[in-house]
Amino acid sequence: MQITYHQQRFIAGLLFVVPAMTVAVVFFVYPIALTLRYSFTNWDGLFPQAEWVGLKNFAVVLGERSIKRVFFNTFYLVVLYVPVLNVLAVLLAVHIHNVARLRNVYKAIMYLPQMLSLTVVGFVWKVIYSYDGGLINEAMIRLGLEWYTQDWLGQRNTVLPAMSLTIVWSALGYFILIYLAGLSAIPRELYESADVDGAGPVKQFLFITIPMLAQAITISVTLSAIGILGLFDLPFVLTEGGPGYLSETLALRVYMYAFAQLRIDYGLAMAVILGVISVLAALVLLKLFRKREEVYG
Amino acid sequence: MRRRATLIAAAALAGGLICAQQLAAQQVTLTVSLGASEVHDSWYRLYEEQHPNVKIESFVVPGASMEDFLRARAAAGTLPDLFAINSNAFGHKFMADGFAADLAGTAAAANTLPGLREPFTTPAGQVYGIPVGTATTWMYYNRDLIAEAGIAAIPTTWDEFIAALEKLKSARIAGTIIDKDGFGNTWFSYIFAQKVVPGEPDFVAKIERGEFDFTQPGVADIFTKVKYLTDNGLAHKAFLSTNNAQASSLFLQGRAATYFAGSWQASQLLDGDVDAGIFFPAVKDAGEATMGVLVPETGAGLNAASENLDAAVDLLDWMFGEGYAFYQNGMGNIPSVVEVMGEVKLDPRVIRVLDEVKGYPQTRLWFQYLPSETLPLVTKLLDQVLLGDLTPQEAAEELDAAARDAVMQ
Repeated sequence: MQITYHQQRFIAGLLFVVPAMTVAVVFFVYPIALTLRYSFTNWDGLFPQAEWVGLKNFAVVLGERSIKRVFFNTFYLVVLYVPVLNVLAVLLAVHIHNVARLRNVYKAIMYLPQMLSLTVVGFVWKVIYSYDGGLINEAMIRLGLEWYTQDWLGQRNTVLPAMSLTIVWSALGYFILIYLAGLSAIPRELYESADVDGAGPVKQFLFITIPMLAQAITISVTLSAIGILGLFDLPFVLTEGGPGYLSETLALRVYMYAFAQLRIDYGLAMAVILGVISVLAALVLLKLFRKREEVYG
Repeated sequence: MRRRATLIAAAALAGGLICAQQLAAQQVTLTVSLGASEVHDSWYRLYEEQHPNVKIESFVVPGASMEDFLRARAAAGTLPDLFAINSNAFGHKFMADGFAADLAGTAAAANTLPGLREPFTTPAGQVYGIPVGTATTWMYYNRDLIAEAGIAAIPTTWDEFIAALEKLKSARIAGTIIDKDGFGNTWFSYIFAQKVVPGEPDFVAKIERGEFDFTQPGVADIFTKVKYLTDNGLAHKAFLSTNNAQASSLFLQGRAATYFAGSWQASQLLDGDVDAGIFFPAVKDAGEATMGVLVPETGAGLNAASENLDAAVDLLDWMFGEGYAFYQNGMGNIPSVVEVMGEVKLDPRVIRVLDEVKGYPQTRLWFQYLPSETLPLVTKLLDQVLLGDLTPQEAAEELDAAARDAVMQ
């Protein structure tokens, strides 16, 4: 049988794709499908047997008294973290991009926290926030501000901002690198023309840098939003969701159901809800920012 | 002649090979996940020295609770031959599901103190764990800080305890450390034993049937008492963020005068730089009969599907027989066995309070008599009470609803 040129190309293409597809199916598609399936059952995580219970698991997890607080915490962190992180990352990236000397040293310093696991970051910041002997409170005591010392991770008003600060500190380096990549792609001629036209640094930043960074902003905002929605390790190490439910996030609730309460079925239902929210958030953000890219494109 | 020598050499070689094969067949490697301390490691090495055909591979998964670990390993079919297991609803189910071997007929079970084996026994009479020690919780105190505040006598009632804490507060000394990790085994268990158990002798069976009334005043009193301490500045200020390790560290740094913690922490807290003592938890009212809590520590269970089950049983029998004294001396914990084949080493301060606990009627369970789904809820409820988001009575009602719901499901 004669194989045509197009058939040959198709088979060759298929062979190239098959390894990656296999990995994706085995490690991503299949587990997601299983999660979805078992979230509608009373599976206990030990035996393969599971009975179909319909939407009961979803009703239970969404009917919990504390669920509103968990949603609030998660979206509070998104609202607080995504803009602060991205604004800081853009400003620092621009600054690093413009410095003449030691640029790579600054890059390395800013990227250092990224090289630590979030668990390590959590333990380090737990010590920093400690009421007794913690870096912040000790500094305040030495500055004569003893009355301002706080139990940073044990109070309603401070626990989420403290957690946000830690997450921003940890993630900043990664997003600076994304913005630096974007900045390096902006032609210098644009700034030179702007100089000739008499535009100052602020106008150049607002009307050249930001529009030209549109793609990097899309990527960074989307990645940071999805990242914070699924963030588990740092809240777990820092506060375990406490005090009460004041810092419990959706991802942490999945863990609590599955491994603290030993209710795998509820944990899976929560994971599906979190997955749907993450996908929707990514789609909405991509749509919004792609539109802006087209405007500036 | 030459042929004869060859035959002899061949026979010797064959014999050697057979012996080597037999020896190899007797060589057993046991996987053990019970503890990661130096004492555990030395304990296993001692067994290997006494039993050259056995090699013990010990490991623990840091950060994972026993239940997480057992569930994951059981589902994957990779349970270690010997593992740590708690006496709770999960343990009962683990046995009923056929993952844990029945230890009822072992010498280890026979040597376990009466009363400590029952929490590890299912209603069908199967034993799934042998406790590595006996445990209680008590109040550690800093002798220097107590003297500095002018407290002359050790408190025995709640009112005396509050009066002592007030004196400490006046002396600008943090009175007591609230350890969130330990709340269930300390405040909850002791006040429950004191205020609820005398009126509910059948409480374990009632909870298992979903018939226990958690809305009764004794349960709310647990939360009320702790809230009183925090609301009145009698506890260390970081009461909403202090875990077990931090609490121990605070006590050892002399940052608070008292700390309600486990007997298993005795060697750590009594042998530090602080001149420390211990006293029986003063949670009863004046004139009330005293209740104690004396319970089994974590147990050692065996994998029912282990290929080396016989060897694992031998190890278990040795651990709770001939080898137990070595472990007890190293840990300094309270023995859980009838006969310790060797000298028991216990701090005299521990012996004194232990004798006091033994002198009272006791409950033999921690707060693990609650359905396992509700255990994490207990600390969350305490947090919410201390934050003022729930009243103690509302917390008791929420616990009641959660416990009934767990049993129903």
